[in-house]
Amino acid sequence: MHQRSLKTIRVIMALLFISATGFIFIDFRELLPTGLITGITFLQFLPSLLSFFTTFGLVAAGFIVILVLTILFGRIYCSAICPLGIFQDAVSWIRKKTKKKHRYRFGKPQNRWRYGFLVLPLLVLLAGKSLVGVNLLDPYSIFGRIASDLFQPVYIWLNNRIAGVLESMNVFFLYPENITPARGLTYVIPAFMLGLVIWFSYTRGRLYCNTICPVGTLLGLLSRVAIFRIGMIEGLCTKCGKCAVACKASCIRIKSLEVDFSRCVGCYNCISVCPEDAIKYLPAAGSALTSRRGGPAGSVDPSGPGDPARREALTRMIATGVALSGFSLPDGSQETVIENKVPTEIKPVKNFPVTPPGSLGIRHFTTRCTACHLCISACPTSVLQPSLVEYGWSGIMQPHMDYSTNYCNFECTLCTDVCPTGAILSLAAEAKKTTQLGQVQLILENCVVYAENTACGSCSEHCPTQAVTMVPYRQGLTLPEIVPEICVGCGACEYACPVRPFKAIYVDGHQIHQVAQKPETEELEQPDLEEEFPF
Amino acid sequence: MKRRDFFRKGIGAGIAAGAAISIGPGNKLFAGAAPMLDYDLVAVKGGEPGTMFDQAIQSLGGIEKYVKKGQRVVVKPNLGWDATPERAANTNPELMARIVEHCLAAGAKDVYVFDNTINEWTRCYKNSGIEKAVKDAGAKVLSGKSKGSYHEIAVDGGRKLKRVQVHELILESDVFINVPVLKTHGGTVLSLSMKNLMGIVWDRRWWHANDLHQCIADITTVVKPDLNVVDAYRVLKKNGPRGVSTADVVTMKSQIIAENMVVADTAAAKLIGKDPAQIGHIRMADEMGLGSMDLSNLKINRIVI
Repeated sequence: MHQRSLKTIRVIMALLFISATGFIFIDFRELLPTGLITGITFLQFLPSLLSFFTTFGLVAAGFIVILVLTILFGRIYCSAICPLGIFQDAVSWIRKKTKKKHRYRFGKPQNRWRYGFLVLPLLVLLAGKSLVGVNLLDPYSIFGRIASDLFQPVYIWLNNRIAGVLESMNVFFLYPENITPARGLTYVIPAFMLGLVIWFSYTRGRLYCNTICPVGTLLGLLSRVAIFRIGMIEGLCTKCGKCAVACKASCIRIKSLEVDFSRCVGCYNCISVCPEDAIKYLPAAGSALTSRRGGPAGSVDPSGPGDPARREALTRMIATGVALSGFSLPDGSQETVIENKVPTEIKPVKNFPVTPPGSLGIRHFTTRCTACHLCISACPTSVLQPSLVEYGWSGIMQPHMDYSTNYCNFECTLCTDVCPTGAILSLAAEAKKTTQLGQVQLILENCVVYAENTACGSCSEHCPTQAVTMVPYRQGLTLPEIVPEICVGCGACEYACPVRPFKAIYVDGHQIHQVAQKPETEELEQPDLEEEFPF
Repeated sequence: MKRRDFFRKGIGAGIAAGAAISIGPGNKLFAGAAPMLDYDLVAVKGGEPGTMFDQAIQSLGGIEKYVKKGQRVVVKPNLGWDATPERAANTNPELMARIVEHCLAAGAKDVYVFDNTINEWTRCYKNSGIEKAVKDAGAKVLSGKSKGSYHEIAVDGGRKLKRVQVHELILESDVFINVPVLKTHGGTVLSLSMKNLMGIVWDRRWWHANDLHQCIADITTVVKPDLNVVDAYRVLKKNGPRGVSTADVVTMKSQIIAENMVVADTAAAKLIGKDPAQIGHIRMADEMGLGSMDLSNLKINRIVI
């Protein structure tokens, strides 16, 4: 195969991956089966890695595929699979189309930055048992938050405009969907990252991927020992410099015919532009290979067999593995109280935030969720909302069940089926119906029936298990009464309760999800159909 | 003149009400085998939902009495919950389909079905079986979740409710057929024709905080369905309006049809063994002169299949 076609293959793969990955984050019509969604996210490195350590299953082995690919050919993930990488390529492509004279040039590796951004999140992970550093930097999750929080509302808005036009023509093929805005502050992080990657990719190609992205840096370490690497062939190269000008990663140094393969994102633009076929994949053992194992010339890392950079790389990889496996062992003993609000007479006292069904509890959830917001995109009721400090600052952007926005649909298990990290584990519909996320609390003094002698019953009406029932009160009125044992903590009562500012009924989250008892049933006497009409 | 124009122009509730029912009585153009009396109430028992409707509507003179050629009809079920038909939390899909068929056979231009659901609407539409049933029958199914489709109207005769946002389909369609399901209700004892109107308004949560029964009675001063069909085939006898499981359901194989909501709801309440006077909104509507709880002077057709 001629290596020039590699770029075409890469572009096709990239378009497939970004459209599929983008679509699952903006779709609101549940057009794709959950199995397909799982397939689309299968190769995403960090979610797969986390999922693997949770389930120890081959279904979560996508990251192994990526590791093997990287050891073979370098950072294929970065240009063909990573949605944030492909998104940046799209920005660079637009720049190329609008500004004719765009040229990349070799840049020195920003080793302090890139290794810093690799080590720092891992230190946070080890020291604080918090994923926050990893979450904020993981490219898949950054893309997810941008697509879910920023692009999905735009997509729905567009859909609504088109649906409106069709409706006026009496066609109801599309339907309008409500846009449920999240709290303003939750947009700050995705908006900032969107601005940052656009700026970087517009001006400096893949600068983000080679200075900030910890996945890129980690795969870059592996790339140094890849079996096939892109290198330049000394006799053929005329030093025309076309490859370096085309290199978004700024990793080709013409002067010394070097390719810093640790920074190469595998876009193959260099291969496709070279008029002499002098830059291409070569086996690492080949004598013509000038790509160096260490850093490029000019960097402080000395090169050669057994060089310290390589040792450093391996050590870091092992450290990462240990860190992740160590942290993957669930243990509830170090649980800390997330939030303790001062109780008032009528203000609901919520000791813990509510985590989604299938997430087992706060600890399991917060130590596995990368806050990619795929569950938020998928949630049909928008009860899943990005958190700010619900889990403490270290859990920022991780989703929580926000019962002021909506409530969890009793029959729905969508979030449990799409989560790519294992933070929300798949739940069967029947198991979900007895999963208790929290328990109902009633403040009778706040209840409109009790306070104003007027009928309501909104809480009980919404309750799927009748953990809140209406019992006879006075003047034909009925008053809510709670049965916490059968409550699933779906939040329907809290959402539906009409009183303000404090609700009369609410759900206090569980630290660890419990099993709800099944509601008691009794056989009803069937009516006699032969009976006369009572009027 | 479209219904919405009536409301928009602020013509009094009485006139609007009169207009809404003006299509009704005294129109006997059709030919039918059954004796045609001006029944105020038809009660059917013992058949399948579709069959019961066939017989009941025939005894009223056929759907043609209500639906004219080229008219736009809205058939509004109770479709509040993500529950299967067996759970009886929603109107029976077979009945819904049959009503749609009748309307289209009578020459209706379009038949629309929607509800402002309580659970997530796409799941309610799908799992209730109603979306498929009525689409197959030829109806157009719409979401009731677009705030922009609700328009504020004045409730001049309302005691608590002074203004309310009503779905444009109700305001604009020529015919409104209200198809509630008879069921128990934790807050309002029963959920019937009048209560079903909470699915045509947007701002219903306010009702819960502001004398629910009175608000339900109030809206009936401005919104008057042309026909009310109370589905009592499967009846949620316990844990209504949502129910927990099929253990809460009894099979009554019955149906109540009436033009007046107070009449329909009174009969339906009696059918399930409740005293209508104990149900706030029925009593209030009666007091406000919107209909009578006294069925003794009405012409009632009782059909047993």
